[in-house]
Amino acid sequence: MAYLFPPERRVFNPARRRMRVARAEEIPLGKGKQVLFDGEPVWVLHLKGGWSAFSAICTHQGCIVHWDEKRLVLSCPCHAGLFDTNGNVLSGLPRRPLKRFRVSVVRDEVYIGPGEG
Amino acid sequence: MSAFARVRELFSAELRQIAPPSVGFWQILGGLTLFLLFLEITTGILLMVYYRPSADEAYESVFYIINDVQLGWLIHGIHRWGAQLLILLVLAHLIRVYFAEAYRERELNWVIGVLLFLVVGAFAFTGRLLVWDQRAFWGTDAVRRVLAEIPIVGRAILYFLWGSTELDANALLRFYVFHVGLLPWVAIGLVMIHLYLVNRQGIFQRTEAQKQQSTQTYSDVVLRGLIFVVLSFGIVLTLAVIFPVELGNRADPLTYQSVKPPWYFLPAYGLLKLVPKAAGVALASVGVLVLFGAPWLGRNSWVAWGLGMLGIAAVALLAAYGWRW
Repeated sequence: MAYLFPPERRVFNPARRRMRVARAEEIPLGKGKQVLFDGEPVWVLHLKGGWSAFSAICTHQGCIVHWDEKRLVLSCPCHAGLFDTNGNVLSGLPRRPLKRFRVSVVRDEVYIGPGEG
Repeated sequence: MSAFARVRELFSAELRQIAPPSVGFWQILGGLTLFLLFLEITTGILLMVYYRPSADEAYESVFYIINDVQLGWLIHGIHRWGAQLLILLVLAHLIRVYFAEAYRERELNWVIGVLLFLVVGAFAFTGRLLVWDQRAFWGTDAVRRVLAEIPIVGRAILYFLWGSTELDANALLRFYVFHVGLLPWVAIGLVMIHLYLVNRQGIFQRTEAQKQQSTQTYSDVVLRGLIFVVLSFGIVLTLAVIFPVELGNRADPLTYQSVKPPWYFLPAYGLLKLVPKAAGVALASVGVLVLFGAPWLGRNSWVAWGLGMLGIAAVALLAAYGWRW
């Protein structure tokens, strides 16, 4: 019987289509939560216009960007790159915008999935 | 005498035996469900030839079966409509046996019958997800959310049935394994025990008066049954042709769609809308336990009748509530 219960710490799922992030109320307006989706760190942001999710990997040299709640930007600590809430470059050395993910709120639960959102 | 001739002789001897006079139309329901189970297994094997149980290919393979494979739409339609009729007949058979009190002195066979009823429900539930369209996905995901809220065991049930706490490729594969690899064996095993017990204990007759001399033999009963088999196959075929199965949009785990369950799950749906989810699951479990224990609870005919009517009324009201909600 134990064979039928997959190990909880590592469920084999190479083609994951969605991942639960949190309950919507756990991420108040203006806040963000970083999660791992298929091994990639992702920022899930609760913004005025809705929900957005971006890869937390800076497009310059691959450092992990941070969500700055006060300035509402994603900032890279390595070379001071700044990204706006659409993932576009505001300043610094990065040339490409952050990779986007799809976000969906299903019955008060926030999910992310691959693809442009 | 060759083995074939011996088997033929054995069958002939069985068919020549005198059948009780009470064996009429309602006793054919059990045989019809057996035929429909056979039909489901046959069409299911045919669908397996083209079906691919992966999240990337499931929807496309069903689409291919319906739109490109020669008569694929018909095989799929017979499988889907046959399942509906099978559930209906199992339900009718169960109700018939209950109100005829045919479970008396046949308690074990009643329990096996209820198990078969649950297995048919499990077939319907696991089969529904396999098409991997929006309705299938969000219908099954609603059940996942209910199970996730069951304290203590909810998570373990999800890991066992879904393969994770999410509805994804793992769940699809598991549902497929249950649907084609496990449930058919369970169903066939239970049917064999069910039939063995019917054969050993004989067909139920309410009174001694009914055990009087009869003129009909089992060959008459089988012949009459075959007419209904042809009739029921005709009904399934007609429904499959007139109302071909329509595939919804491909399942998108990030685009929510509110879905009503099929008619046979409406009572459970209604119950979960009426009370908190964990309480609903507990009440439904109690309902199933009462169904198992019916032969012992309804030792008195009036109590059995009252309990049965109460159960049917509750199920009908919950179904109506689920349908309206």
